[in-house]
Amino acid sequence: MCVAGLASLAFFYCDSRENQKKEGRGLLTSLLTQLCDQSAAYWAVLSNLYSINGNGSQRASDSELQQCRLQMLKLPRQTPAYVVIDGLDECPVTSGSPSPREVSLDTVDELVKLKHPNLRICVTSRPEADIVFILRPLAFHSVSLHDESGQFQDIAEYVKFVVSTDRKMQRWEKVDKVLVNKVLTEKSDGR
Amino acid sequence: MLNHDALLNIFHHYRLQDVGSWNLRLAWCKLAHVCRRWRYLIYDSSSLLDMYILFTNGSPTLDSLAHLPPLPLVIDYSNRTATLVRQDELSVLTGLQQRGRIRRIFLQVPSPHLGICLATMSDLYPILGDLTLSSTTEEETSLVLPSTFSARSLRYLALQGVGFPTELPFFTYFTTLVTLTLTRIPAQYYFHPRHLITQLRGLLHLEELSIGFAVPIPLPSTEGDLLPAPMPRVTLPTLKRLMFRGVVVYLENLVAQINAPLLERLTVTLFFEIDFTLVALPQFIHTTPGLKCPSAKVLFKSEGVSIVTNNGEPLSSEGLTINVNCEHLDWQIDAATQCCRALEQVLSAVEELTLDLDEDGMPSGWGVSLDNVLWHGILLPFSSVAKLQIGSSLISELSDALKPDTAELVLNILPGLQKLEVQLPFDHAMMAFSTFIEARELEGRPVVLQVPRVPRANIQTWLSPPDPWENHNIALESQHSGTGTWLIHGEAFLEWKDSGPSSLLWIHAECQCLGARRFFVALIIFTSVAGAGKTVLW
Repeated sequence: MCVAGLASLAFFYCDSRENQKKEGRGLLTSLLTQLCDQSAAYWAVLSNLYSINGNGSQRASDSELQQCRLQMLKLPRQTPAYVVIDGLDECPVTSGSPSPREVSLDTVDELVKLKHPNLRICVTSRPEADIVFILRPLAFHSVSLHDESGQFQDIAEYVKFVVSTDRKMQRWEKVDKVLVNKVLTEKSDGR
Repeated sequence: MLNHDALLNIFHHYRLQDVGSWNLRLAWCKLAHVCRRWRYLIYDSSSLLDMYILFTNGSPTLDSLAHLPPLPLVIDYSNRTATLVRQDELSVLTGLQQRGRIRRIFLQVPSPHLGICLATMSDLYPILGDLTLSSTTEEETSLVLPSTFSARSLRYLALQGVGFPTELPFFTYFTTLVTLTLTRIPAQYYFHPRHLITQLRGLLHLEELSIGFAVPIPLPSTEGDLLPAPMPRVTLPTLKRLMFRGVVVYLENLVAQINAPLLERLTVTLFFEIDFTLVALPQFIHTTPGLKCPSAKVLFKSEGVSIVTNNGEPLSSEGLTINVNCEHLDWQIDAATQCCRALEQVLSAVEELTLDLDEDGMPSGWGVSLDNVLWHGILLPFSSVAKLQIGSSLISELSDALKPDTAELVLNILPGLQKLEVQLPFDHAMMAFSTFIEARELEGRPVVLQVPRVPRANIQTWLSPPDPWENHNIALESQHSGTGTWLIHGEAFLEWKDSGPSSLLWIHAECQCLGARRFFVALIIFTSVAGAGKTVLW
């Protein structure tokens, strides 16, 4: 079901456990098709690429896909498009040249440098050196979840939720639950 | 002991198990031989059990019908690919002798065989409901239905390549006809429209009428006979489908004399004539409510050009088809122009027009450059068209024809056009039609270029992107109210949301399994729930 509205949203979860989700191409194709679902004009651009690739009988090259994305974002439109990439650090640095992570970072770089008036990009990741190197200068805002007290509040709520709803944990003594909540909340910074 | 109803039910199921053999192999004989009670029951219920004796290619040879019950007979030799052996011929003739019992005859055989059969069919067939006689011989034959043939229950009559005796009065013998098909009528059995219409008057149940001549007849030298359309119109109150194949003057004379208020489908195939006049046909179409159609297609094929209208629904049979038989594309365009011009009154209501070329059967002379003005003649009558579709093979022709510098005329063509749909990638289509689109823009009558929308599933298969919802749903499952919202309401997010071009919000955390991911979920919910989102959240 499509909810009619005023903005487009495309999101992507990088996931090192799945081949497609750690590759730059996966990111590209996913963003393209999601954007297409939200605008007839975007759709026309992708349909065009489909037609010139022998109606889908040939594989589109990465550069064609990048060109296509550029073309879409350059289309005149009023509504903002949000592109959200989650867990960019899950794209591996190792295999291939350029590596999937390089492709993903290039994508972000390209999107920011596009200076598109209605585009907003959000990236979440661990602060690994190469990511920091590229993203820090590009970011309009960078938020470290370590600095934000809300994060701990959130985690506390989450732990409380799990402890009170998990069937196994429900059998625990109340005292134990309080202890679990306390310990987990304090140590929930991933270390 | 089982009662009759139960037994009949069992017989019925037995029949359904192998419907093919039931009559073809006389499978019911087996049941009839079980005992006298069964036999009587079966023979008494023969119509309920759909029993008949079938004569067809490869059916058991029936030297004599004497030892079989007096069931209705069906003679069906409609398989064109099967050869008719001597044995079959004998079977047919045996069957045809049982006039009082024949329910259906379907003979689609070479003309010599058909001739032999026809010779025996000179009497009354009281229960015959369905008669098809079709000569598989291409050449014209002199076969004719005997003038003494009659069938009082006939509902369906089709003669293909077999003449209909002009002295035979329909209204006396065939008042029950629902479908009458006379096609590939041999020249020597030509009849005047006046004669046909006189006969049709008596057919009060007729729903479908096909008249088709094997050759262009009458010859131009004797056309004078058809020119005045003298009689008042005869109303054919039940006619729904009318097919005609022949020359223009015949058609004109015919439709000038009939009214068909319930007509839904009119199919006309014309032999090519360099110059023809359609006057009665447009009038006839205009006064027939079922033939008004909002969508039309002009299709060029190897054997001729077709103008087809329909009501826009794919499965609907309603509409009009006019075919003109000629092979050369320039003649086809010329013929289509003449038809469209004549039918202007009808075609001016068309809102969607398609021009296409049949890629499996190209007309000859395609690809040779043609005078652009030729195309204008076809387009001009379609004055209300809002959407024009052009098939890929005609794009170069039509893009040339629509170039504004080719003629002043082009701006008067399709004045109401709003959408142009082209079977090409967008860039190529834009290149082909840019001058037309620009000219229309300047005129203040802009046209939007559309390329066919590729189905979502095709793109999906082609790019096979990873499914973003897969992980998203996992995140949603772990999401519960309240979490993540602190960030949504935080300063950084609010600023980013309304910030400048291409601004990047970077959220980093050592552990992203909780906060970041749930922020992300919150963001999606925010963009949809807050009304800012056109996301596909469900």
